Amino acid sequence: MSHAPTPAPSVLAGLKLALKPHAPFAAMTEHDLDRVVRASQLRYFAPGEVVLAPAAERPASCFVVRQGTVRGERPGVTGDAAALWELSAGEMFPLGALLARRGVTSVYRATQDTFCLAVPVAVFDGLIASSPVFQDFCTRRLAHLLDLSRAHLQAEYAASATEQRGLATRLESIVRQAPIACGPDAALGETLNVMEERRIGSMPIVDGDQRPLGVFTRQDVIGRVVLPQRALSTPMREVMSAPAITLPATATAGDAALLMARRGIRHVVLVDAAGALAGVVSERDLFSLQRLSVRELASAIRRAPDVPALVQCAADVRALSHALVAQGVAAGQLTRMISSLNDQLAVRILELVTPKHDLGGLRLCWLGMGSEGRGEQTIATDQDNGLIFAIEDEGATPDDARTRLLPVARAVNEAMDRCGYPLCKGGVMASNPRWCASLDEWKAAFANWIDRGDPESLLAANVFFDFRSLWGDASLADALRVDIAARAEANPRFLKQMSDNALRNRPPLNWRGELQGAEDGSGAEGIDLKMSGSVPFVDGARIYALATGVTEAGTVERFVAAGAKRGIPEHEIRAWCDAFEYVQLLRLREQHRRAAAGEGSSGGAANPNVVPLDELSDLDRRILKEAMRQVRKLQQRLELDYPG
Amino acid sequence: MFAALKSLLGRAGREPAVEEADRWVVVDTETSGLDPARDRLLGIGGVAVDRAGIRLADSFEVVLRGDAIGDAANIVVHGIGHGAQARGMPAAEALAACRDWVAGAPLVGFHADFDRAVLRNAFAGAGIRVPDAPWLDLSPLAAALVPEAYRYGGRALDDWLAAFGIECTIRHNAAADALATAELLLRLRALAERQGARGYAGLCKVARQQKWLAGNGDD
Repeated sequence: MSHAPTPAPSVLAGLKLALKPHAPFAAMTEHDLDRVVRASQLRYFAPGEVVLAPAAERPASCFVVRQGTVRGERPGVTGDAAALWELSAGEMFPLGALLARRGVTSVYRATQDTFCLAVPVAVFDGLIASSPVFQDFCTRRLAHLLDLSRAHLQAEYAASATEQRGLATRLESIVRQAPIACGPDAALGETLNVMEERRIGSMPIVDGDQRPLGVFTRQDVIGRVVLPQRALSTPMREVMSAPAITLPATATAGDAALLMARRGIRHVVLVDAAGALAGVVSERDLFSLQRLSVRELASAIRRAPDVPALVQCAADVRALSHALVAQGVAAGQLTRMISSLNDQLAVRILELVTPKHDLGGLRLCWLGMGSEGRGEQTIATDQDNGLIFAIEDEGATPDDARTRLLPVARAVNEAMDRCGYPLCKGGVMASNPRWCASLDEWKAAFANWIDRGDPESLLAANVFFDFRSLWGDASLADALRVDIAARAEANPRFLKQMSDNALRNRPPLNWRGELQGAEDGSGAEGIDLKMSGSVPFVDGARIYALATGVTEAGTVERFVAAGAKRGIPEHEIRAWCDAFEYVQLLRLREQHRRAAAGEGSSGGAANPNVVPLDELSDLDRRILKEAMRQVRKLQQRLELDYPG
Repeated sequence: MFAALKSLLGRAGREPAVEEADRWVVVDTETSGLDPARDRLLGIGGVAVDRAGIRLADSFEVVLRGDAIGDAANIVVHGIGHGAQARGMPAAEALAACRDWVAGAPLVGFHADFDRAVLRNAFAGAGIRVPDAPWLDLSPLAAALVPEAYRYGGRALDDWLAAFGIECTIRHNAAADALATAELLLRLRALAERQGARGYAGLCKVARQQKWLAGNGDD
């Protein structure tokens, strides 16, 4: 064969016409467009056909959709639940894998009749090196990269999750407690009592050999007991559903799900090889196997009868957080969700602890501080809290009140510790007599910090200025906030001191603008994502919020509200928020990774916020660098606004 | 009818075995009219296809130089005006380049009988010997694989491109038409594979059966 590799002019022109309406091709030179088309193959993918599947090697081509759509999917998941994103005409993939020189982690599947231009990876690399337009499109846009990073994470998670928690799980491994059953002659009233006490949704009825005869569920109560007005003395044999629908305990979760769907039931009775009762699996058990829902978890927290139950809920909050991190939920959403569940947990602890004490004559407000106050908690988080009280009894002193309240606060702090939120090393807790204080004492403390402005005050301000009422009389917290806002606005020197303090924490970039890690003792270079990453943004947002009288506690909310008041350009604000959320995401991921690797996310020797530089992918390093540049910009603005 | 069908299948079996080449070439011709015996070849376009897809760089386009004037109406359609024809390549040279580009690969066309006849006449006229390569006609193949579209839609290439949603950026240009035809081929090839017809020979067989059925009063 002696055909020269020069495409026919009309073929070339036709394909260039098809590419030109789309970025980055619109802005590329004719020469570069020729290069793309000349080297490419036009491929067809039928609906459902896989274009790229997870692999270890870097793909051989970059694809440009010419016609149709390509969907990104979590591997191992089928149907719409698998969908991560969709690409249509003009879009390129898989940029993340090609840039990071790794294999793809998601499945790319055509969902329509799809034609893609397959551009050899050598040409892709050539364009990255020689075409600024192309390079810019593929690498520099932060938002774009964030999406990629998120998608990457989602895919990574999916790969491990499907193995662990699939429908292939054996039912015997899901059953949570030894089966509770009753005989056919047991009285209905007695059975209902047991179900209520043990908080079970169903009661199998068994014969003398423990063989299931039938089942009675919570859903049966209305239809079979309440409406027909059955006497509570009715024997179970008359109200149960019989025969019991059973599965061997060795059957899989998939079998149970199928059976439930087919028979329209919510409980399946499990039997052992001899046909004796082995347990009950509910629809909810199967769901929690798939995913813990935020709503369910919140309601479990609200219903928790005691602290041990809350310890389990707290573990579930962490499990859910990990799952959501891994599913690539945006950091802002995630930290708000974690904070909200932690709030509810704290409230439930307070509800359980306070009735045991006489708190008459006192109005109370429990405060969340620091990251909890901002609604920005990550998974590894210790407690920061405080208590404001107001005395209604004539003649009682704050010290009298404190004497009564400290044991309550201590009980709450200890319960939180048991739930996995370690006691604050700095003693920022309501059980510390300093932070269990009357409204006037709190006002005095803040006034003192604002007036003195020494390093200790500034440190305290950073924690305490982010307070939020979690439980009790919120008007106490509001009164404190109003007082502080007026005082801070009237004291420009204090803001200047806060700014100077914030500027001492410089982003870890060297003079060339490259990331510069600090040695972590083991010889590896790492970056403290909290101190160098989140804190500069949190500090900057706090200063601007104080300066403009903005009362929002969240960093992003503060940036948006204060930025508007000060006339900071919106794109600048957006970039800070994106960068902050990215750093938060990276922190969550790091905590998630360590927990998954069994390194323990809290209380361990290693700082959960330090990430070794050499463990970051190229992509993450580039985004982190961009985020640090945003820190620099924020700090430059602070320097201008609060000049030395 | 079954005997006839059998004989047809048998005939297919007796044809020289087509070696499964990885490179197929999709060809389209532009002519001065619709009579292959009388009208003149004005241009040839083609793109090569392999297992994976269309090899864009492996494509071919030539306008033949000629002084015989095609009729004015057709010039409007194919867009190869007198000027372009005058600037074109001498016929013998163009056809030799075409032969070299095809390089003995199996050919594909839409209404391929026409392109085949036009090219055969042109090669003969220029005294160029070409090896007898097989041709696959996409027109009956499409009718066989998508009978609904065949029954209710039109039968021209434009109708099939529309039915499959294939965009042709520069229609009635031999190379651009060949590219669109190649896209149609990829679509039909995928459909045929799902029905068990594989490879060039498999597609040719389906096309031939459809042609025979249509010729036997299916219409």
